[in-house]
Amino acid sequence: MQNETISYSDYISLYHQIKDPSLIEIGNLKKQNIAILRSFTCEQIEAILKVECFNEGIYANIFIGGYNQYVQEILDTTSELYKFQPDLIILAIRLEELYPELFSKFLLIQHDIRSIENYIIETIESLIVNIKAKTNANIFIHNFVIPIVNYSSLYDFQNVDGQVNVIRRLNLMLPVMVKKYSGVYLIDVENLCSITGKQNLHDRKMWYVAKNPFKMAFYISLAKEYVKFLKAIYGFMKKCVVLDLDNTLWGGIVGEDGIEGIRLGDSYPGNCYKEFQKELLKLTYRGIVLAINSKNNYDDAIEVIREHPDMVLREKDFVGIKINWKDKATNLLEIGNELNIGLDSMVFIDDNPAECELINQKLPEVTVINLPPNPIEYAQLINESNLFETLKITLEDLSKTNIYKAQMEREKLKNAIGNLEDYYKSLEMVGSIKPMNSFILPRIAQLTQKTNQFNLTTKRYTEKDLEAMIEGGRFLIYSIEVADRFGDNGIVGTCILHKVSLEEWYIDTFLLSCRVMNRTIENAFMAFIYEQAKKNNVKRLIGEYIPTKKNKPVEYFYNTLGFKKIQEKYMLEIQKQTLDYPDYIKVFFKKEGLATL
Amino acid sequence: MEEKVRAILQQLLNTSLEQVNNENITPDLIENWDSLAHLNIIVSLEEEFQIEIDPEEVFEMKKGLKYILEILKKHGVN
Repeated sequence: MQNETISYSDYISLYHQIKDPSLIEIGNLKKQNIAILRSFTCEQIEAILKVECFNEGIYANIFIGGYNQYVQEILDTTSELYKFQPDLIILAIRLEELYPELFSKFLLIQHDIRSIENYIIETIESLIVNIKAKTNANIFIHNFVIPIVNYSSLYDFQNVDGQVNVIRRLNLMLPVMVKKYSGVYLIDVENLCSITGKQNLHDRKMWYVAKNPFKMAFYISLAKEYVKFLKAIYGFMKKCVVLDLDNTLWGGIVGEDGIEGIRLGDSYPGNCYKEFQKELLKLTYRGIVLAINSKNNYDDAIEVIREHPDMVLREKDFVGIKINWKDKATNLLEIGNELNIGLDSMVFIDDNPAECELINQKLPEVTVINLPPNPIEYAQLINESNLFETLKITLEDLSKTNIYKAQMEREKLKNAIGNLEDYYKSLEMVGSIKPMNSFILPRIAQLTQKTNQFNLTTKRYTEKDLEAMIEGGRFLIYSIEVADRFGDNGIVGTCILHKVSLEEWYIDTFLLSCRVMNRTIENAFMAFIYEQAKKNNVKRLIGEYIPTKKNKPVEYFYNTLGFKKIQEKYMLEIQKQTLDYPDYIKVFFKKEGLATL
Repeated sequence: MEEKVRAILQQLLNTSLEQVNNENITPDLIENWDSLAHLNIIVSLEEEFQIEIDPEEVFEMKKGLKYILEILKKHGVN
């Protein structure tokens, strides 16, 4: 592709053309699972990024996280994020959403600004630590953009604690923090915005209509920046270590010395090999895979792997095992094909200089390590080679003491936003539930028409429909409004209950705006429904899940609440089960102007 | 102008509109025409015809091709 500017609709066309996964093989592309966690609408970047990656030989699978749900997605080990198995996680978090008071109430919080700055950096650091505890993915972090219109204009610039300088300071604190971690990179979005020109950056209409702050041109430059980083990293990170066996994983030759004669154990030199195996095993915990490429009788060698008491690595630790008399280059190629790993992501370790030379010549893309004669050096070889460290783009040298210190801080920070419960508590959520009235009727109707994801039955109603339901007397309609630390979200959910009989209520509609998904607000709302049902001596609550293309996230909603599946619906027996209010949401029921808990 | 708009819609919605009447090119009848696709359409129309579409018009255009053509005419597009 040339350097001419492509229009956005061209990106979309191209995007459709390169979707086919069989292209990975045909084009010998590198597959990358890229997850973008974000605090603003940025879906448009998906097509652009996929095309730009494709230009550079990368087949990108892209997962875009929920709107402003990055904390939940990172903390929840069962989230879609981790199921996606990302190679790269991008944290596209704007300060405007991360700490809105900096923009809405700056002067009121200015006195405390230094501790707020620390809090912000710690929050991001905590996200990094939590991600690293769960995955080996690389991480890109956006730095913060200084707005054109700042809080107090000319005066602001004069003040070292003015809004402008606070953001500048944060952008200096970020690289200091990020430096402690490997595989974490800063994307200088502030710089990208300057290059694009801040006056050309924002699409006001897109912001008001879709909470999308940026024009397409910016997303194009952002995607290109991501790809630059990917190219730099990719060339250096190895994914697979292919190992010889004799005099590599153990001392001696099993074909000659027999399983009892090889050196592997707790005394010298066997312990050197054992240590070496331990280091290799550690690599697997970080997502690097191991394979065997050995000239041996299969049965002799596999017996050691399976039976020898001092083997640290067992059969299950290897993703490929080639124990045969074929040439090692052929074996390596086969391993690469079977695992769909490029040769340039492989490391070949062998004690035999002839084998190493063979691979160097036949498969020059493979990195070859010829083990030195003394096994004492093997274990530290893994630690000291830079092959398994992701590339540090800035030149730096983590000394041993820094590593130790970083480890201690890491443990401390893991608990900063350690778990979901703490996060929910920190939001200070307050829910107000109201029965439908003429004032909120339009909003409720709109919610039934527009909500797709967190919508159990996706029944669309007009205002007239809802009015008729209330007049008929057999329906109860409630709305829930949620406010949190950052402000009022307005009415975010609604439920419509059908009083089927004195004993049974059917949940005709239960929906929540996707902006407040995953905060247990749904649990609070369901607890309210349960409470009302109980007060009215209802015996059964019936729920239904009507699948659509978009509401898969709630497929098991009723299951998780304890409803029993009966034929095609779900049932909760009021007297036998309960639905409790979550601790971290204060719920008020505003019945006709009066608030009661 | 109509041809260009149809081409854009075909491209962005990844669906053939050859046999379809203008009246039937609406989000209700075309599965891929969701809110994200609609925003993509807005961006592309702005790029193609060098106009700025305001938020009201964004919503109006979501009613279908007929409305899109009307609004473009209002903007002086031929």
